[in-house]
Amino acid sequence: MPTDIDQRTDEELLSAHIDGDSSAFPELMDRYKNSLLHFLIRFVGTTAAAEDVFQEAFLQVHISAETFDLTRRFKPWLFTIAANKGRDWHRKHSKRTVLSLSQEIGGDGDGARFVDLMESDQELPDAKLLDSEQIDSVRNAVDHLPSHLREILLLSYFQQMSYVQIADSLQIPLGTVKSRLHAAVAAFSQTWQASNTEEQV
Amino acid sequence: MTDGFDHLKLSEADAAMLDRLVDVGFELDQLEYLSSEEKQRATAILEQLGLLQAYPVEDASGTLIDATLARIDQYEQQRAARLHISTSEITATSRGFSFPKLDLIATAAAILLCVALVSMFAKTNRDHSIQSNCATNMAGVGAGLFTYAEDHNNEMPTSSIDSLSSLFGGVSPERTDANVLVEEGYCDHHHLNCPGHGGQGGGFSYQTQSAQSWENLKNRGRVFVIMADRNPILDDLLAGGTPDPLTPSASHGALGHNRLLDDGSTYTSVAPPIIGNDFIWLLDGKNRRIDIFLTH
Repeated sequence: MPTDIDQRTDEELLSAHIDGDSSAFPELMDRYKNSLLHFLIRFVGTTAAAEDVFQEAFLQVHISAETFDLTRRFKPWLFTIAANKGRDWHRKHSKRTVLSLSQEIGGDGDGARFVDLMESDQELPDAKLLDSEQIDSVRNAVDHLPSHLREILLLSYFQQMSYVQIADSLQIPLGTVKSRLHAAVAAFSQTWQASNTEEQV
Repeated sequence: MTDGFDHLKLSEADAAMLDRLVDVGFELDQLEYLSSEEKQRATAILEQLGLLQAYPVEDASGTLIDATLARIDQYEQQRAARLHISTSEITATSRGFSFPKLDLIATAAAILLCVALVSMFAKTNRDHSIQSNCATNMAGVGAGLFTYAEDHNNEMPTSSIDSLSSLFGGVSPERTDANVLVEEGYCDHHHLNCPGHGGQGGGFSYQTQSAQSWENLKNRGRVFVIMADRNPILDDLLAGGTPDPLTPSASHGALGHNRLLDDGSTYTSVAPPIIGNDFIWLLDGKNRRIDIFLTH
């Protein structure tokens, strides 16, 4: 077994934690503190709530460590636990008003509205060059996504989890993962454009 | 679940391209044999998703790991404190079953334990009720604060607190003052207390922010606490002690500390009371004049 803690894999650190190595768990948390916190801030909307959910998630990892199959990867498990805790948080706290989406980009006449990102005539700025109002628009567009769409958008885009991994982690059918990601991207795009257009008027 | 987004769908072409991008981890270079239109579509999707990068996030504070470890310790201590009941052997005799003296004691202890558990559940229900009423009161004060701010150029009602000047280098800090809200009719007097506090003095604590700094704080782009249940370590701090900033809240039978955030929402947490770099219960000692610190 490698002696340098930095050289150990996540799974080896979790195993060491189960065996009573007190330095292993802080190291695991340190590895994921920023990526997990960023995920949670985007998921629950505030740093305060994200830090609380972060603690809940790692407490759950600690409690469930012995049940974890050490032949599997730790990271998807961690983010799955965090997503579950984030969803619990939404259930307890979220009574948000969903933004009205009155601006149609397309339609098929049977109630569904189709968004085609190539047909948008709005030129998108680089994320690094957004002004504060545009950043607010991004935040607003993400915050107004329902949690079941938001978690899949974040797991997919930021954690680069595959459809299979997400379906496996969240215990939902593969087709549901796909349709939710499609809906999440369409909703994000439309909300951002609607709110950005309002600001420009 | 129904919401305003259920009927929104990506066009078929966008959906197919998005699926391909997911497969390659959103790396455009990894997609092979793209027509120019497909490349344009993939780029449009990536540009749209790239906006997500602008969502403001903060790195973890230096205390987050310590706070999490403290929470795990707290969990382990509670787990270790749980009572375990072991059953003793019951032996059969010619006159029936015989309970050794120790077993009788154990049985009596078990009955007492059951009584204690019933009492505990009753107390927990009561604590939940108090916590809920406390949050309702806090929300009432919050509504009053926001209405007051609307009527007063976005400034919060404040007062200076001389008793804390020793903690602020001889300068009396200002803090949010909910009493002004009662005096001017923005909320009722009964809103100012947590019902579990019994009305003894101030049931809530308020942040030490001056009215003028309100906009500055908002410009920092982060959530902060306006008020909360009574700061449990302030008295120790004023007495010259050095309380542990990770001390968990004992409010509402340790169910959690209610906090009113600057967006008007209330929030309950059993977490050690440090969020981000804002020390809600303690001065951070770096910039005292603008430190977020709950006082009562």
